[in-house]
Amino acid sequence: MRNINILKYRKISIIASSAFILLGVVAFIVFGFNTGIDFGAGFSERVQIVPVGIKVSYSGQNAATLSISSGTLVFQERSASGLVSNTYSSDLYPTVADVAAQMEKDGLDVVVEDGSLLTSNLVSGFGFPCDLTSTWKALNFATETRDVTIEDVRNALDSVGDAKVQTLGSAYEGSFQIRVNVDSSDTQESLDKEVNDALFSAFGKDNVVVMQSDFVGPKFSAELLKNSFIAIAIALALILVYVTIRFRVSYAISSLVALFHDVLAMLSLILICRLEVSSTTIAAVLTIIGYSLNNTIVIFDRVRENVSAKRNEDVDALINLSINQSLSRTLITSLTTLFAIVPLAIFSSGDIKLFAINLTWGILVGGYSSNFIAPAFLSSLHKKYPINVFKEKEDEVDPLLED
Amino acid sequence: MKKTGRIMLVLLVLVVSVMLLYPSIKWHFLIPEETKELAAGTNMEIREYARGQASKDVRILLSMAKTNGEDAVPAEYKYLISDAKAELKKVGKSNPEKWTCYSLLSAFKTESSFFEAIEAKYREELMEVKELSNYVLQLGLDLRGGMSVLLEADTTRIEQELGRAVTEAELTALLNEDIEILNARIDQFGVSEPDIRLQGTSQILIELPGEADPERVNSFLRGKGSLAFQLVDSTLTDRVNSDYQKNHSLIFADDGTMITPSYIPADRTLAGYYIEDEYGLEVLNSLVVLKSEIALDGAHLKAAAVSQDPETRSPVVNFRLDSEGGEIFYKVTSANKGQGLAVVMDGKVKSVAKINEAIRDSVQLSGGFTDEEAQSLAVTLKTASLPVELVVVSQQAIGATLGDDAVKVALLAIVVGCALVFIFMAAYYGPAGLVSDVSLLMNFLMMISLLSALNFTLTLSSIAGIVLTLGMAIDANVIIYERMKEEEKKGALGYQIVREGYKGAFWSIMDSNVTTIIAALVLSFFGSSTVKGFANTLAIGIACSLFTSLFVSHLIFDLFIPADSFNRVKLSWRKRK
Repeated sequence: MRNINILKYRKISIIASSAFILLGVVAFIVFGFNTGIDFGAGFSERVQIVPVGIKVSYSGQNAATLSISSGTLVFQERSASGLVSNTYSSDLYPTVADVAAQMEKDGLDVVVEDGSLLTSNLVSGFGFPCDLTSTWKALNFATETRDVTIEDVRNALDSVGDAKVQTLGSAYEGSFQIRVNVDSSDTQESLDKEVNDALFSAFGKDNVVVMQSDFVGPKFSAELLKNSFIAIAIALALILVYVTIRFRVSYAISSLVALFHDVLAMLSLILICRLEVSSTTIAAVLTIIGYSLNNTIVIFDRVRENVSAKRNEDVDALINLSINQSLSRTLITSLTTLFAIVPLAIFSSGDIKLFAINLTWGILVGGYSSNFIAPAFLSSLHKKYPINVFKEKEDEVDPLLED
Repeated sequence: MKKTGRIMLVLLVLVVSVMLLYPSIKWHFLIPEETKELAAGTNMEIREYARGQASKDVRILLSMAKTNGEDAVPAEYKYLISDAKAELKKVGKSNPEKWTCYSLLSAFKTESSFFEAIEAKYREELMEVKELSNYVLQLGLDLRGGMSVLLEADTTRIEQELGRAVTEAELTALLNEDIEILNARIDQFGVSEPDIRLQGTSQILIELPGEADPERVNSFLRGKGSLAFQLVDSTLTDRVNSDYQKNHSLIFADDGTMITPSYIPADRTLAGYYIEDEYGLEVLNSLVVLKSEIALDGAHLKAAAVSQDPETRSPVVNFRLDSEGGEIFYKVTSANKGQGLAVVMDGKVKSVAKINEAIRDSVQLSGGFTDEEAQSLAVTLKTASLPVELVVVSQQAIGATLGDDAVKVALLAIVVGCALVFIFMAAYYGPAGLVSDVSLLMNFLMMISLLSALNFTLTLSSIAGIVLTLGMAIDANVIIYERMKEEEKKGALGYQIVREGYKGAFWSIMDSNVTTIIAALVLSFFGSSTVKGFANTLAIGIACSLFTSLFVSHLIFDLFIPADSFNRVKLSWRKRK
């Protein structure tokens, strides 16, 4: 069986890891964390600035609602004879003009603003499903051209102060993320109004579609940060106690070193790549704490088993043997977990994408640290707190196997 | 444990999982979309629907009894026979020989008792579906769109009034009153049931599924326009009520809304006077014709409380108005002495009182209340203002379409991820890989059924938890198979390989999973709501994965490789000499 001398690389790996973490520290000093609104209080809004295709209203006697289900407009009319549903799919009604013609037949009042827009580009934000009344309800559709640039939005928000604007999706969509910091005097209502009024006056009220809005007050974010740190500290303490009881103190310390390494390496990547820090980052960090520990403990379990079976052999050689014995398991497990995570990192968006990116990196780093960092520390600590001194004790037996 | 015992245990777990999942299956596959939509409405809307359907059915059955009364009862109305039997039993009559439309109808003493029997059937059907929806795995707000608002008490005003700091217990009590009031405003807001609850001691969390519009939430919090005082037109009120007593279906249209009789002029509105019944459902007590003009807006109300009339010992409701409201109220009451004044909330009459004298800002409503009625009226009056003002500390709103896209993408990612993992395991470990795929599927089943039984909502972060569980569950299988391969190399055969493989892997798997569960549990206690969803799923997932990988897959191996077998265990598709 091939036996790679992994402990030989301990110096190189410790230097490489230290260098990367140092780079992270530099990034921290230069840029600081790119905190999402979870951690830095703020107001964030996702808007799409797109033209109005049609306006509809309803003057009949019945209860009428307009809703959007999987991108298709649905007009429902509840009357004495029951419920009538009309759907306007983009297959049957490719352009806005087609939709308008059919809607008029179905009993709605329609004003066509731009009939050439495509039905499939329907944009809907807040306020759906809506009750139709005699007041006009605007329906927006994205265009195939670039109408609003990020500069336009920035100019519009000049009055709001330190607003940050980001383009989302393709430039044609006219989708923007707007983020504003909060002072202690601001309320959700006042900020919401301030931002939207600025957008409405620049682009027209009907052309601004709000897709998502988040507000985090200053007090809430401070509490969240505090709770997150408490959670991490408690988790670490409990894990340390468990590993000390199940193994020995040298194992516990080495696994914690590997764990701190993973957390620091993750934070370094976040700092260097300027990834956003939100509450899902905490989730990712905690997942990796669990995952990397999982890896390290599987290897340490082997070390413990080998050390107690071959009591007179050199411990360094046994550690090396254990890593090699676990190598194929480490590779296969990391690979399958990546199979599950990488599609999320590629396909999804927003928070969940960030989470998946953090996790992917964490799995790589975790795999590396449990093979290179943790065993190296275990071998050094062994010289101080030997791991091959035994009291006589019975072997543990798998309780499920006692037929 | 004996093999049969183990098989029984696995089967038992499977059966329990399917049972726990049954409400979700029933909800998603067996109940028509239309019924779900109807049941998603408020209790008020459900009653309107039940009324409308009932009055339609009453008309159909009446005309059937007239034209062909000797026909057998049609299948869709057979349920009425048991109601009819109960009615007959009450008056001590015997059942007719044959149930015809005519005999069915005549079994009911009055038309209104017949109407109620039909209404009850429609109501129970929808209320059952509504109840069921509580046991179904629901999508979280981030997946189906909606709003979540965290509010905190603003105690400045109260502390000024008291002249001291508010204690934690007092604050919690006040916030509970706020919650009661917000719940009472739900009908006015017109969304499907928002979830309003106390968080910690000083915060309120509101989650509104479906509709996301911060503006509407703000108006909901202010509560303006929901409560008003209106004058009563007593002549028309009497006329409408006598019509209603004669025939219920004259007043309710098929869609459950009230029909305004043609003799009611444009400047009058017809409203129902509702009282709450023992189910917490509002029941129509009588009809009231109101003057459409609003005499006083509820926004002028300051405080309301129940007390006792010192002379008659009957309960009275006191409330105060602000100075502007006092002026308006004085004008109204002095001009309309002797007339009825109604407290109207969301178009429904909550109470009618007679104006005895001109009143300014301190008002007492008395007459004919029970204690409960007085209490509920005081609560209604209080809904005009919250005892503790609330400020938004955090708010998230996601339009339903954005949620729609997120679901599709997350589902796609999960499907792709799972497919890759399943294919890889089967390709790499051969038949043994298929065994691990089976135990993975069972892991999924157990997880989903536990999640829905524990009433968790499925959010993006819990989907991430599911994906991670998948990775951890695979790990357990990989550890076992790699051990088996080692045992095989050492020269072990058949059953020995299986036994030693599981034995060697047991503590590695336990230790590594227990540490992850520790992290997950700590998170689910201390994390924010996003992190909690992730941690809960992970903890449940790992617990299930320990069972499926150590117990279920072991059992499958034991079934294929008996204790006396010396065959090779197939750990890959490769053929070896």
